[in-house]
Amino acid sequence: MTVNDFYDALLCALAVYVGFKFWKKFVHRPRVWVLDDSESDMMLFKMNIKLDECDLRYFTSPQGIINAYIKSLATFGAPSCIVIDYYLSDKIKGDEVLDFFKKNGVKGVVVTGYDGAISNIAERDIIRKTPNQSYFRQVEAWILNATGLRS
Amino acid sequence: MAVEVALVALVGSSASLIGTGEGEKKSKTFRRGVSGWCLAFFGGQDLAALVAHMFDFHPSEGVCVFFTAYIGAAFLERVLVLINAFSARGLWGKNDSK
Repeated sequence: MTVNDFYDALLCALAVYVGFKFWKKFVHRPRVWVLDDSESDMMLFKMNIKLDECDLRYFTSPQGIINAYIKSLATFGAPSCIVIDYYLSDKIKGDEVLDFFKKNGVKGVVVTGYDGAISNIAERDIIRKTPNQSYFRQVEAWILNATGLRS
Repeated sequence: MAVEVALVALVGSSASLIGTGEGEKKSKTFRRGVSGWCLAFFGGQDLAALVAHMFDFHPSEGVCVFFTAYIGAAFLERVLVLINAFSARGLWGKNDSK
């Protein structure tokens, strides 16, 4: 390898850096996945969450979300962050799903109407459901922070 | 020269960390950087020779080493995530209901 090869690599690095910044600013739309087994909660979520900057996708079961995640890994469509309901109708709870995605580098938050402490989730990863709009604004703020749209 | 290969591999593995690492464990970021560097340092020049042998164009060795570090680490990481995802799917059940 010669010094010229080294300069070629530096040029590549510069091109990659500029390309990445361009892609992030003008092309990339963060993908947000929402997992909730309750159709009524999902409907309320869709009506109240207003995020034009993101692509939201909804799932009703952990099986659905894991299958979609496997497909997304092959198509470069993995989510930027996920919002998970704690009580899912399956035998799996939201904490397991959150744990899996966090281990694989996807930011996540659990939403729940339960008021008590949840032992295996940090309090910062929980948003408590309330009947008023503040809950949806909280979720919106979390998504904007997690996707880097608002720092 | 080994020093130049090491430097180019370092540039490539550093570039592969752009945009990652936010909210990620430092050990994971370190692992990705090191695996990219190792791939490029030990396999980058061989890959350049392979590309030159298989195709008509002869890319610069520096470019090949750089992209081995840049893409290789991400590829390895993706394979690990896929393995985790398949094992999680096995645990969570295989009913595809969306």
